[in-house]
Amino acid sequence: MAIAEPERIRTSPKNEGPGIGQLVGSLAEALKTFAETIRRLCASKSALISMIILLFWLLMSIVGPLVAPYNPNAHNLGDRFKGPSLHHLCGTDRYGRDEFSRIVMGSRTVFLLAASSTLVSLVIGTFVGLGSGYAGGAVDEIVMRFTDVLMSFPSLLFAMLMLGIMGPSFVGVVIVIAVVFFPRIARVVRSVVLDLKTKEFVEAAKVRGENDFYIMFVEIFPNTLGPLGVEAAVRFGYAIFTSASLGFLGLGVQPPTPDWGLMMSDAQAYITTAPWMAVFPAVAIATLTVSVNFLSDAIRKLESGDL
Amino acid sequence: MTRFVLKRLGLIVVSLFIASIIIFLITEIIPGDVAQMILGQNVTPDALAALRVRLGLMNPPAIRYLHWIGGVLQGNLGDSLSMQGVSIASLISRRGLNSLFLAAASTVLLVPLSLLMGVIAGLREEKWPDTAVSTLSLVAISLPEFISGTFLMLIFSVWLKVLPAASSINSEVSLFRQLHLLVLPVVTVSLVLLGYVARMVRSSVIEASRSNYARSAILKGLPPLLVNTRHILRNALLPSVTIIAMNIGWLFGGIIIVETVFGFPGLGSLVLFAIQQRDLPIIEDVVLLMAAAYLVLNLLADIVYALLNPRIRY
Amino acid sequence: MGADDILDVQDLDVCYTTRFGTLRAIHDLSLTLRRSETYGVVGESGCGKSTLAFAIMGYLERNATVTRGRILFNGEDLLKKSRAEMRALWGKKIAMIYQDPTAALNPSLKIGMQIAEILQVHEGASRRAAHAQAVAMLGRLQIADPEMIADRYPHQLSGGMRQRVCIAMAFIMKPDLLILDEPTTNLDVTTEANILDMLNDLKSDFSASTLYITHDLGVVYKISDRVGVMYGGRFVEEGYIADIICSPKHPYTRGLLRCIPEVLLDKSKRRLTPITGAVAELDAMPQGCAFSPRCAFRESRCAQDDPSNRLYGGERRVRCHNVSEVDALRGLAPSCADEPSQPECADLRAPVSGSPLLVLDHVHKQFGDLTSMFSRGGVARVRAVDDVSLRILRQSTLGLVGESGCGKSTLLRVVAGLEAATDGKIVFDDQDISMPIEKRKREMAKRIQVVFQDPKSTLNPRKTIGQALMRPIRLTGLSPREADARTRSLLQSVNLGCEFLDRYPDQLSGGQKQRVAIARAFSSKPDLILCDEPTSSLDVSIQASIINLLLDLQRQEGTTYLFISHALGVVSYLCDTMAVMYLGSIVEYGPKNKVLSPPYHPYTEALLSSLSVPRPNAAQKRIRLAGAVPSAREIPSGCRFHTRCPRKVGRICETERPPRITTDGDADHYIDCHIPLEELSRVQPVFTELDQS
Repeated sequence: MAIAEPERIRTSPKNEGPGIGQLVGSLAEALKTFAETIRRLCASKSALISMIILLFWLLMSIVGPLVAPYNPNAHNLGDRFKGPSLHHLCGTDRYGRDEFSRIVMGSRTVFLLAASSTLVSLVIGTFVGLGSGYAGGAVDEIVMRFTDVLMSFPSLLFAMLMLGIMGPSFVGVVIVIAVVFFPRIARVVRSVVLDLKTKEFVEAAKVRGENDFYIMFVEIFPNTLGPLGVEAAVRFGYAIFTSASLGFLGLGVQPPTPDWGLMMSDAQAYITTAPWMAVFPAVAIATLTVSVNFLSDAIRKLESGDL
Repeated sequence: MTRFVLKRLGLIVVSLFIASIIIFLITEIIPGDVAQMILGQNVTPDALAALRVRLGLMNPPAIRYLHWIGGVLQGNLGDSLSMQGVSIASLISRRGLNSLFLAAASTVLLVPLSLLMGVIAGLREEKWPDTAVSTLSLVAISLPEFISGTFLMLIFSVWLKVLPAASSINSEVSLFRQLHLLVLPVVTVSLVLLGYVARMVRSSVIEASRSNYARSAILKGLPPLLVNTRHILRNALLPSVTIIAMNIGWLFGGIIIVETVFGFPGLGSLVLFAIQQRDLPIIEDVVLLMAAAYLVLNLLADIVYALLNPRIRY
Repeated sequence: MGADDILDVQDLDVCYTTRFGTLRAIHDLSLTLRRSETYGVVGESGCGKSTLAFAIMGYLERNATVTRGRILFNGEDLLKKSRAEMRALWGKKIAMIYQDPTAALNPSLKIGMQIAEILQVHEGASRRAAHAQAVAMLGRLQIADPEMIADRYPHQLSGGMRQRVCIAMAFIMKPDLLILDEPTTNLDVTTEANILDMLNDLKSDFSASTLYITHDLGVVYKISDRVGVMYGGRFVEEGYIADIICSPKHPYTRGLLRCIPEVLLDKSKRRLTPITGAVAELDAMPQGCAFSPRCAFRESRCAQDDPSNRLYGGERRVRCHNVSEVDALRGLAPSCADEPSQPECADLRAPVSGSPLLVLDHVHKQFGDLTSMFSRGGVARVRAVDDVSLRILRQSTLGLVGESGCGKSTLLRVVAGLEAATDGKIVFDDQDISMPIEKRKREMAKRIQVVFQDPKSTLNPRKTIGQALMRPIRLTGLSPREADARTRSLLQSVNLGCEFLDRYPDQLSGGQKQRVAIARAFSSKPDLILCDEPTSSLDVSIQASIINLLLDLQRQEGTTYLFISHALGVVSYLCDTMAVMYLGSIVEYGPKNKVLSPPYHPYTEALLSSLSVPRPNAAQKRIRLAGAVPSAREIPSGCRFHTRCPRKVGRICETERPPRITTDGDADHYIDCHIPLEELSRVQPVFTELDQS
């Protein structure tokens, strides 16, 4: 059977980059994959419980103001150091502020901080990893040395220094966490790129004359999404972890924004006299970080086919 | 081998040099007026000027840097800014030993325990020891140190009242007599890395047991103990040196938090204090010291790894 | 079971429990192995031969169980033994040699210890005694300086050396039964020949009974006495190897034999006859005969009843309902109406004489090995391609053959533009393309295309087949509608239906992926296609269909091929001109028939005599090369082949580069050798037909 010939043969156009059609197609595909992933995750008990806990806090952060019975910043000096009761589900702190409301509002801070810093680090890390891995040679060596130093250097110390200098703030925390995290993302992306760079479909693309950008973004990048998703989930958990730690040290978001870490720091002095001030924020942080980590572990198992 | 070590030592010197420049740049290129931040808002311009002269802020950065580095190399670490007349060297030596003790105790606790946990979990895959270790280690790596520290404190100090909450070390008495003060801080510091290393070792052991050479060993008729030790573990435990080495940096952060939670007088709480007070000389000296410690530890780990891995030695 | 039987497998069934239910991997299999006999188990991938090996060993995967049957070893049923009892047998009475020697060795343990520990455990030998025995065994396997090797680690040894170590481990306790699972598949042809010889010697010295598992009929012919042909988890034919090859009675065996592109077979003489269809998945096995969906001789009862293994005189068993019909055909002649006739052979296009399409002029490719900067010796230069000159005529096929590390892949990459040549010129259609692809003219990318080796990595896993094909087609300038039509017709031309457009690579088999890769290469209607071992990872029957496809497309489109492979049989079937490559340079080049007959370059001669071909009617010379291929970092001085050349003349081979001898004054055929032409011409051919007596 002969290969059919088209009627007219036009002169070749300029090498097109990835078209919009391809991107939209991949969006629909992405949503389908997302739904499928959730469904498969439900098979694992621990993943299911973790998703419920995560959903709970997510809900809290969204409907926060509607649920919180009091203004989280309202001082009420008559009600200081009250233990948990029907009026104050989690007790009050040294200014008489309602702990429960503070925790509910604090969840919003947590999610905003963690999500934005993870997102920024994902973007930076992906570009660095793609570029460095694909370029190879001296460029890759230098970039990797640099990220190696960043990655293994005590991250908390680094964050403390930067925030001490910049002055602690929401944006400051986001930037600092992004700077500390992007090397790990870059590493993950880079290792996929290095693995794929030598694969034959990439060489086939080169042989037909594709330019480097096409190969990086259209051929290679979609294959990084799996490992990237896993790493993103893990990073999200550590973003919560790190921002809470920074808050505890007083280097996170500043009052009046309610922050769970800061609440823990306030509670330190009163741990023997008013332990509920520490217990409830601690439980909140613990449930959130543990469930995110269990979930990312399940995602990792899914990605490697062990679930 | 000696060539390798010498080369690495040279690299450390260069890295420290670069690190000192970076540290200096970060701390000294601060937006805003240092003198202003130290003295506060309600202060006369004269006082500000006097402080600036005292700090040597009038000199160009290069001179200030050389001043500092020169001092360090001669052993003169300068004086604290926020605490009048306190020499940094005395601060660091006392607290440095405390933190070193904390770090060493944590390492001694966590390395053997995590290796043991990882090996048991890996060799008994899917059975109950594995499920227990996997779950516990996953929880351990998720909890920030101030959370686990607070929980431990709540349980053992507030509820059970068996251990003290604050680690107010008496500098007169030897540290060994005050060990009970160290229990909670040491456990808290080790938890995260314990979980992490245990998980890594576990997956390394599992991978080795699924390997073709493990199968060869079994099908040679070797007894299970020999297969496990000489074939599986010998290969599985090799990367653990690298894993521990790569995560030493984490210990530093953990120590800072734990010292703050338990009021432990070490370098970590010192550095936090210095950052809050903008006490630049302390910050610079302590961070440089930490960088040096970190680089030396990494070199030690690399040497150990090179000695153990035949593929590198030959 | 006779008293002389070492192994007696009776009615064996092995099943896997998976997400898809219980799958039967081995089906009613019986096998007897006599003392000192070698029994070959031949089958393609997925037939269950590895499962059989591990079932006999008693080391199946966790989700596999023996559901029926007995495995009698020296009269005792192995299936009834406990782990501890099996441990007493493993390594001592039953030993196994695996396919991948590198993975089978502990990377952190010295070689000597890995052999000695077997003795220490089974015999209670002292460390010193065990070590001495291990060294002695290594020496017996023709390893030079065994004491030193025993002190080394696996990563310091070559592939052939590692396999010898594994063989030493298997033979050291003088086991009664040896199971070999494709031990030479990953080795070069010359190394394989040496190992097979060695195995033959050891078997007779130790009187070991051997079960040899392979996919290669040629190897089975060389090494075994009796053979069982396996398909779909069962033996479809069993008997003495020469009988089976001369008169196969099962349609599958017959089909297999007609797929092999043997050395002296030529594309113009005979077309390969691939077996239609593909092996069924375990969960879709037909109820009756496993082979019936693909069988040209099938009847209605074949789909319902699984035939039993019937005896056909002597040792012959065949599992087929229609043996008599198959038997009636003599040899491998084509038969019934279902099979295609062979007119296409005559239609092959002849190469166009005149200015060649591709000319390589003293091309060099050198790699500076920077990582070696830190080790002793400093920077090592790897001369991957060393002064290569070639010509390819239009519409012809140049076959480039050589073993691993000879530089053929590097040469292909330089021509494709994936690497830059260090020196020399490459001229394509009178245009200079000596630079890498980024610097070439755009249209060169359309005119030169590549088909790669590994079906698993040749397609982007995140793209559908349709997307993978559309892209290069769109690059040729067609509108989306035209491109769509062309994608469909391209798929048809490689015999794939349009349902493949929306599938992802992981839903396709290896052969199907290679077809897509070929379609992709043809999408821009190139003048030259570079084929980098496209069939090396495929089963024999699939390989045959891919070769036919390549030839058909060449016939239709008039494409020129540069076909690279280490498989001499495939290359010599396909090509018009052949070049033999060793350590970076061409040692012999010329029209295929001239290269494959005397005068030979000594390396060509050795390659030909190392081949494992199942031809009972031909005698084959037995020339073996000693040692291993030198590292490309240290290419020997003078003639690079002198370290292993069986016809080495003398000092001159070490000091001077050999002259280029042209035969018959014909610049088309040359050999680089110091031996004078008259002497080379007097050499006997490697293959001589025996009289049919």
